Amino acid sequence: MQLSFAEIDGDVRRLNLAGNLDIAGTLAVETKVLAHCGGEQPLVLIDLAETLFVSSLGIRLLLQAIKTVAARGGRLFLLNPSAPVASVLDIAGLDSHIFRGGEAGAAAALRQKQSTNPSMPEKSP
Amino acid sequence: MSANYRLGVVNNFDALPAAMEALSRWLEERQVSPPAAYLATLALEELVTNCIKYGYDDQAEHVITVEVGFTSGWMVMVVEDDGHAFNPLQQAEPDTSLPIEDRPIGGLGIHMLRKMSDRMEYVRENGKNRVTLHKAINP
Repeated sequence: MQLSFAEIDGDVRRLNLAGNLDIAGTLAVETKVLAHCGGEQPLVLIDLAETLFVSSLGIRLLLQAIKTVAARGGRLFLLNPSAPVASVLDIAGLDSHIFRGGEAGAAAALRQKQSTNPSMPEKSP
Repeated sequence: MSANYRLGVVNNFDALPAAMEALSRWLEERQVSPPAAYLATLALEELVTNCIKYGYDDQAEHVITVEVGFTSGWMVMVVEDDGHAFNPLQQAEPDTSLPIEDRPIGGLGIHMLRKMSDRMEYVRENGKNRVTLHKAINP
């Protein structure tokens, strides 16, 4: 599992997870993923386009990330999951955190929600 | 079931990645449909992990056996261990509709297997837990 990080316009953190979020993959990246969820009102995108597999341990990490960001007054969207991964997210009840659109739209939605409504994100369009 | 694949995994987390890779490769070589392959790999991780975590009180080495086979349009996977009796079908379903802040972390593995398989069975026999998963495969 490979984690890469980029900032979008200086305020949105974009994490790309490439590989399997299985037991080995999750343990390899969990500390770094959660570290990127810190700070004040973090805006975070986790891009799952290259994530091939998510087990319950991977779901646990994503849930922890969402909770961590929310506890700090921020927002987090999951982006670009493949159909099998989206199905697992749906079963785990995380489908409301999937943004169905491109990166720019997701970043804009994070900023908009941040400024208008501090509650958890609604299901994206 | 005609057992096409049989794997023994010792009760040590270090053994799991290699076992998952071997099973994934075997499924890929046989061009098993992605949903069935996903379920089999997931079941290996979830059931073996549960067994390693909660199945044993001693420090001895135990072997958890995994069998995967195909019959009449179905993939059938059997995971057997000699750990404490544990019926995953009796585990309470997590409430995934709760707001995120109220959601417990964890407890989703068995839920995922139940949702993703077409049928899941459990038997306790001869001091062993046996979980069987059935998944329809595309012709």
